[in-house]
Amino acid sequence: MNPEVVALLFSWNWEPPVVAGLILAVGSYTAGWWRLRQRPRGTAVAPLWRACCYWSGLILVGLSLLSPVATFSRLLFFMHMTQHVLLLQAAPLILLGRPMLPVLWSLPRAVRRELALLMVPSNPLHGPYHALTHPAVGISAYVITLAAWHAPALYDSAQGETLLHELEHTLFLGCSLLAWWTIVNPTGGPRRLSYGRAIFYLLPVMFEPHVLAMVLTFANRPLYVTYQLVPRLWGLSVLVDQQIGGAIMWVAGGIPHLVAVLVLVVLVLRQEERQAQRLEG
Amino acid sequence: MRFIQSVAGGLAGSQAEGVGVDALVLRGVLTLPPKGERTGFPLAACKRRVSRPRPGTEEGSAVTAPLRAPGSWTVTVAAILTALFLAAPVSANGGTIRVGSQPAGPFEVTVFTSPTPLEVGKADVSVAVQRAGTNDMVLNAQVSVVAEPMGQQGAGGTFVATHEQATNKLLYAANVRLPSAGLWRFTVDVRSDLGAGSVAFEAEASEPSLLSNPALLLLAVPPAALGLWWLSRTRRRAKS
Repeated sequence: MNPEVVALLFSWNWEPPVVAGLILAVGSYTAGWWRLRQRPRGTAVAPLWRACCYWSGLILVGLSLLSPVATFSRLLFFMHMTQHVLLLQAAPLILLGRPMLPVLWSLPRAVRRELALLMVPSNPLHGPYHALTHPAVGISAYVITLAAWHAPALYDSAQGETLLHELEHTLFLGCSLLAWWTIVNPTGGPRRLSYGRAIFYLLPVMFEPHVLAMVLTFANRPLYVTYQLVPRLWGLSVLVDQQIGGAIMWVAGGIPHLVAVLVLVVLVLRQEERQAQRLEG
Repeated sequence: MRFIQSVAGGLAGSQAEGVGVDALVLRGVLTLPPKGERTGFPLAACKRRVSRPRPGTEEGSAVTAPLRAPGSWTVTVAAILTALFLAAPVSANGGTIRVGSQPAGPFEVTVFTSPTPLEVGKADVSVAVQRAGTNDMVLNAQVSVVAEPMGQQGAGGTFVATHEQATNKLLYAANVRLPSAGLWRFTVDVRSDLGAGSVAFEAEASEPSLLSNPALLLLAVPPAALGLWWLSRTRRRAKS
């Protein structure tokens, strides 16, 4: 096998804090999920498909931060775009796992109760939490974060800077979680938006990556200084690398949004059908 | 039954009803409802006393009991995770570009250093070696890094850079010890059957700061969480 391909396959970046975070996230969820399923009718409350969604989301986070995708993101723009797409797409899967309930159930009963009391509407923490998960906050945070970090000045300044680069990735995952919160509704409480409105809510989130991808793909010069300084691999010029990155964002960046819109359309139609049946009945 | 339906209600959950915010979480904290029961918001069951079920009793029938101390395995796992969180992330994964594709004999050499900025202690110097003209990566070279303090006390040294020490296996990495703050001169020597070449650069090393390991900031989380919990508990007690 080509030694460069071998080097690519073995370039895993086992950052201890990321590994510890993932072990904690998987361990606490799985322990609580298992505990829930041991209870009468627990399989209905903690179904396998939700756990699979959650684990898949964390696998995407792991791939994006630990795999050769992360290692080579410093040298190749398209690897960096792949990393961002993986991080952004992990969010809906993590939320579909409804992690709060299993994670709470992984804790001792007394701690579980105290934590639950923090979420009661009369608790002072409830106000900020309610504001943070507001649809307007979620969508604004997502759109602004995605646009700002792809601006050449900010993008270049984050490369090589440990703290700023980690902040970039934290914001990508965090804002994506906030944006998807309204759609997935991971707490099972009342929805903040109806299914119909949720479709319109998703539109900017769905189209923004396409706009960015168009700019990247059709630019006639390299936009980021970083990749003009690093060694070029496999004969890829800086511009071709940028175009591949744009294409990845274009194709893969919108897939979860498209799936979500289709599901929401089905839910709207089903809801209208039920209403019509009720009127007829 | 309605509760179970809302919990298992597919992608979007139940749109029709809910009890305040986070019904699922609040309900799930307590015992799962028996079949056929219509559950409302179970705040009445959220009592402040610490309780756990007695053997042979339902979990819902609370019996006041002291909170158990965590088991030894819990402490072990927590200690390992804490150590991982706080481990210094000096990774040979690039960093600041000090020398960008500079000709050095038959090679073109790029040098990265991390962390950014360089600090007293361990630093990573990663080197990419390419054949001049073709840009093919040279993977069988011998690479060494010489670090010398400029105008200040402290011993430098020569450090061998290898693929094994690098996260990115296309690069050569050396773990360089910088014993003192100040200006340092780094010389990277590359040798292979193609010939030899070297590049040099200067960089400032500063005293380590708290921000050099962002994971250390996580140390603030437990006291902050305890503070919030205490505040919340005090308010609840005052109200009741």
